[in-house]
Amino acid sequence: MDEHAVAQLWTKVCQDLRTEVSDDDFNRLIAPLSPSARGNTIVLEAPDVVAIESIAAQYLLAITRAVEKTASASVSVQLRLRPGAEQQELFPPPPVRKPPVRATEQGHEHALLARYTFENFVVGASNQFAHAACQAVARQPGERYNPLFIYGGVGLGKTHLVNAIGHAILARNPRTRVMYLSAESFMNELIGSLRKDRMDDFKNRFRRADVLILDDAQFFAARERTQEEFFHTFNSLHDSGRQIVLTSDKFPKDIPALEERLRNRFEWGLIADIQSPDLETRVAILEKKAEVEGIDLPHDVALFLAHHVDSNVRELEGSLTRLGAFASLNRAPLTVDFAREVLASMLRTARAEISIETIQKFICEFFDLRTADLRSKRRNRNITQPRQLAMYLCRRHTHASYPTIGRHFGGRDHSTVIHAINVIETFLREDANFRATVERIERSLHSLG
Amino acid sequence: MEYSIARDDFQAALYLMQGVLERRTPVPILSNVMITTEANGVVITATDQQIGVRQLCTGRVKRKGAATANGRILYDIVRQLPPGEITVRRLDNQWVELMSEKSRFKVVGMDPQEFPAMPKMSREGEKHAYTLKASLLREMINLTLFAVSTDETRVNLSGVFVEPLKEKQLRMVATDGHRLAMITRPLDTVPGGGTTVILPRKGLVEVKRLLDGGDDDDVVSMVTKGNVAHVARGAVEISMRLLEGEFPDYKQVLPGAASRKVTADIEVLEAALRRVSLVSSEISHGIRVAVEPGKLKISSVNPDRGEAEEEIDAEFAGEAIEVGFNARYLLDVLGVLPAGSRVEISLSDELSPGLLQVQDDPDYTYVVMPMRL
Repeated sequence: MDEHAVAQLWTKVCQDLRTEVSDDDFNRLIAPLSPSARGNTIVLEAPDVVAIESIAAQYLLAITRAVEKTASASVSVQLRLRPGAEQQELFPPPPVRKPPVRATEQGHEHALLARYTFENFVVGASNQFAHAACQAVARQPGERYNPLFIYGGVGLGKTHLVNAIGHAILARNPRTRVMYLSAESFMNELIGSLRKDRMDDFKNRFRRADVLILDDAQFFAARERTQEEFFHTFNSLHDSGRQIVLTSDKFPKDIPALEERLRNRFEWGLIADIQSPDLETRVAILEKKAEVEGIDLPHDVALFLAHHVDSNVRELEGSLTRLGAFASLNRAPLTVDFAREVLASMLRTARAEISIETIQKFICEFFDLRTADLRSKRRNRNITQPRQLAMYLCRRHTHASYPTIGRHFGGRDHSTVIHAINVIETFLREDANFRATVERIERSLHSLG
Repeated sequence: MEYSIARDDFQAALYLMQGVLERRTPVPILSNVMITTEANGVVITATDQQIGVRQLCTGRVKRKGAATANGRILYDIVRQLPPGEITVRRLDNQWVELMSEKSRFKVVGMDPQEFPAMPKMSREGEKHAYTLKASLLREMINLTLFAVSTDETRVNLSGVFVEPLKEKQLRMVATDGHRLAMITRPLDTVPGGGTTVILPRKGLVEVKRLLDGGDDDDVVSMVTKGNVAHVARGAVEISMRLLEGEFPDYKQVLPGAASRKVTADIEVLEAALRRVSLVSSEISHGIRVAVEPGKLKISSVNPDRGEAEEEIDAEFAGEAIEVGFNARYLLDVLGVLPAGSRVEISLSDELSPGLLQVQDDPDYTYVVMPMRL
């Protein structure tokens, strides 16, 4: 969207908002905003944090609705602080020391998870690309894709793949300093080091790594200090050609409250996604796991399981483990009937799981709409909000992925779904009445069985 | 446990506990005060595990024992009871019963065994004991506490640095990275040299509360050992865990001789700043301070809120300059300086720290970094 289009869009949006917002509030909060566009996002710069908080609490939803109504494509709205006065520091921060020349240390602590290697990773269409990218990085760390950003839903194998990179690199060169940890651990270590005034240790520890693998980077959302520290760590490593690998259940641009400069860096290298495995891959995963665990798994049972457990790899493997345990306890061979019996309770819960269709039907009844409305492109306020709420409920109460949910709502993009959920979550935080209504809806949904 | 106590005494003690009690805490017992009977009175304590307040109150003990109950509720009740004697009793279910003339209350209580210990001094570590007048300690705290960092991640700045500077001189320093306050006062009980400690902000807030309620001439004892400090006045003792970490080398940031020094009346300057900052940014609070011969001009230009400018008389002979500052940092210090005095502000350039001192009191120094506007 170019500058002119943005200005026009904003003028129209303001016209709309004037009818919804009091004159005082409009002049105080909305008028000072400076709009600009970045891709499909309208960025509104506010003069200070207080303004941002006020707008976010009261009007973000209204602004978003107005923007969606006027824009011709699916756009999201983001509030940002206008850069302003710079307070000087009494104690300038110490200069970042360059990491020391690597000593020849063997067996550096890496904290990799032993069972996740390339050898026992099952490749299928859903993860082929990510797998290839990981192997490339493992062969030539720091030279191919840096950073490597692996994106995928829960339980699909991100952790497995990135650990495999670590193992492969170590196998080739045992003296490499490989570090694996979750974003949450990074934060906890940061807090601990701050408390004990050991920041120098902290910085050295991470900036000494040759390969840094960070799991669940989406955890950084809204954690400013942690982001700040990771930003410096990232730069230090990247500048000296050290490999960084990240995983997340969201694309960088979908991680909320993520600093611009960090988001950019996440996008510098390659983003590879892992999708839900197809039936064939699920069967292969089961058979591979059975082999590793020493379970005698007939092909028809594998097929049966793969058919019925289609959510994610973790659940799939879990069902096999459970089956295997029962079989050895009862000293019974695995058959489809046996599987059906043992997993009946598990499958029953899955079947009783609320479906997207159920949610859509319920929302339609509740808000007096037609399902076609939810799927349509119409952007009236009284359709958009129920639609967003429906998406939110789908995410919360079904295992459906963002793209799947998007598909069920008239072929919308997964980013629209994410945005809808963010909008609803903000609204839930701010409005107790809305919260109560949603809770009522959720209770009714569950009692539908 | 059962005892009687005068309402006023009970109320005063409970009041002192309120600052320490955690209102929203994952550990419910931290919202409680602990009451323990002693020979001829009761000891009331509250703690959040980093700091603790302990007061001995006179009372008639009928049955020995201990009890804990929600401190806020107890305080609210006692405050509203008519003056007179209150009987406090622990019930079988750990609840605490309060009985006054015609009212009876039962407050949710917990097992006193669960109550955490107050911060206690370890056996190791150098012990330092200072005795000082309440008015002196209060003054030193007032002049420094406001400058302590409120950023939880900067642990070593989140308290006041206490330094036995040299024989018979006590110094306290506080900074948040943008401004620094330093006061040095003579005190007989100070040895030459010794361990420096950082007293946590929250602990000092409670000490201030304690001192505000008493006499200027009261004697206060401050003892530090290992990683705990005890500050006591009369029947009240406040314990606090000292902050770990090293306080920055503050001497490095004290500016040397400045090229410009302007002197103005504290109250006049404060009032002008307050007015002008009304239209400054609500986040950065940036204002400009311009000095020229004979006057000091304070101004603020904010496209979203408005403009303001005010001129005050000042003693200044030198080259004019304009420096930006966070108005809050200036108002904070002016607010604790003695009214009726004059303040000397030394400035070098737009990016160098400014220095504030009270005319005729070289023992107080305030350094503030400017803003680039």
